[in-house]
Amino acid sequence: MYLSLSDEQIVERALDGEPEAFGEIVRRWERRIYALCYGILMREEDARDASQETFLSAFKNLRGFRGEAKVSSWLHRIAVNQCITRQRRAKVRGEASLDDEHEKDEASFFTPAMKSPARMAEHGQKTEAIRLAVNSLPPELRQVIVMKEFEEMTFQEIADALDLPLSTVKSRLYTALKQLRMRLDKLSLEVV
Amino acid sequence: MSKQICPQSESLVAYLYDEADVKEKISFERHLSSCDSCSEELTAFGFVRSSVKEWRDDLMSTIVTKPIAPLVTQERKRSALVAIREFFSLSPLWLQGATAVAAIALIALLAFVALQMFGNKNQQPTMAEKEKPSVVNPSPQLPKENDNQDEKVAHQPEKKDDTNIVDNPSPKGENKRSYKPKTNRNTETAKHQNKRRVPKQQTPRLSDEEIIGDDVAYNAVDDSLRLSSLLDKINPNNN
Repeated sequence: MYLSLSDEQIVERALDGEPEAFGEIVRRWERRIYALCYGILMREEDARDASQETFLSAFKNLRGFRGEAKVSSWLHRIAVNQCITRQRRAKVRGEASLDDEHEKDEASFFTPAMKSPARMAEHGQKTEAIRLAVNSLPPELRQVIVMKEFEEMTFQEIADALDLPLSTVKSRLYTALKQLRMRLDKLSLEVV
Repeated sequence: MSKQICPQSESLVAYLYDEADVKEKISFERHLSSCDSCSEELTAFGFVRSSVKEWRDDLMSTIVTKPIAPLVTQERKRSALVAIREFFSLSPLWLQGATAVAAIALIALLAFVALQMFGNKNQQPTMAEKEKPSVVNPSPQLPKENDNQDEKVAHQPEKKDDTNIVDNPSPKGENKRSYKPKTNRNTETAKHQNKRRVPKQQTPRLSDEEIIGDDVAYNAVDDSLRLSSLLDKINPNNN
């Protein structure tokens, strides 16, 4: 029914009294938003919760969508905010936070015996090594690399979503790529 | 890997992601021909990107089996308990401490109020106390008197006044009659208890001590009577 419509048209329909139209938005973007959340949070459960919260928040604030940006950018922005909120909560709670996990993964990178590249390759765990590499990045670098590589957002979209200057987004991306290269080098994953 | 950051790093990123405008693109391509560091980084970053995309594709393939859409509708039905839990998860340590102190204060207040109420109840005569006089001293007047009077009567036995006992030897029949108007089951029970406990002299008893004193008093009277009759027999001239 809504397949032929663009995201913006669907949102208009939802605002005109067809709330079920929003279901199509969820179907279109749930995987991408989940991937984005997972890329930032690195925990399945948290990513799933953050994705749900993202769509719920979007639905509740549908009238706040002015149509100035694309629906996808709007959703990404909400998702990133959800992830940042969750990271703050984890810090407040003092639980085994995402940052702790980040530190744990970072430490594991410099423990050759534990994560032998050859062994990982043998077990087909190359993707796990990349995941660890991304997870070992500081949160602010992880956000931009995931938004760029997972969601293929433009620099401007990332800048808008994170409320950062364009130049900061570029410099963070450069630093993130450089650190990833260094970490993957340590794993000898055929990165030049 | 280059140790120094080339001032063209931002242009490198823009070029890498194909977001450089035409002018910037031409300018950076010229720079690349003369900067080995940027050239090497561009290649290395390309591998990094392909690795990250490989992981992303792997991740995306696993998401297929876990659609979020149904969960979003479930999420809308989440209880207030979850909202409260989230509120506390966000609250700082001082707020959690303040909540705990407030809870303890509330419990203490409730305990104090309960104690006050319980204390007041203790001051009022209990049913057992009300029953006690009717059991101990079933005099004809007692059923007509109020509770306070009952209490007074209940405390009388402590005086151990023999005159009371002598002056108040109401016969059994009278006792029964005086109890008739009162239909209280407790007093009825008391009567039955009296029937069992009242000795041959048909004197109502106040307590065990009283019973002992009672018996002694009556025995003394009996003895004196016998002695006087004996004296009369010995010395009939005395009269």
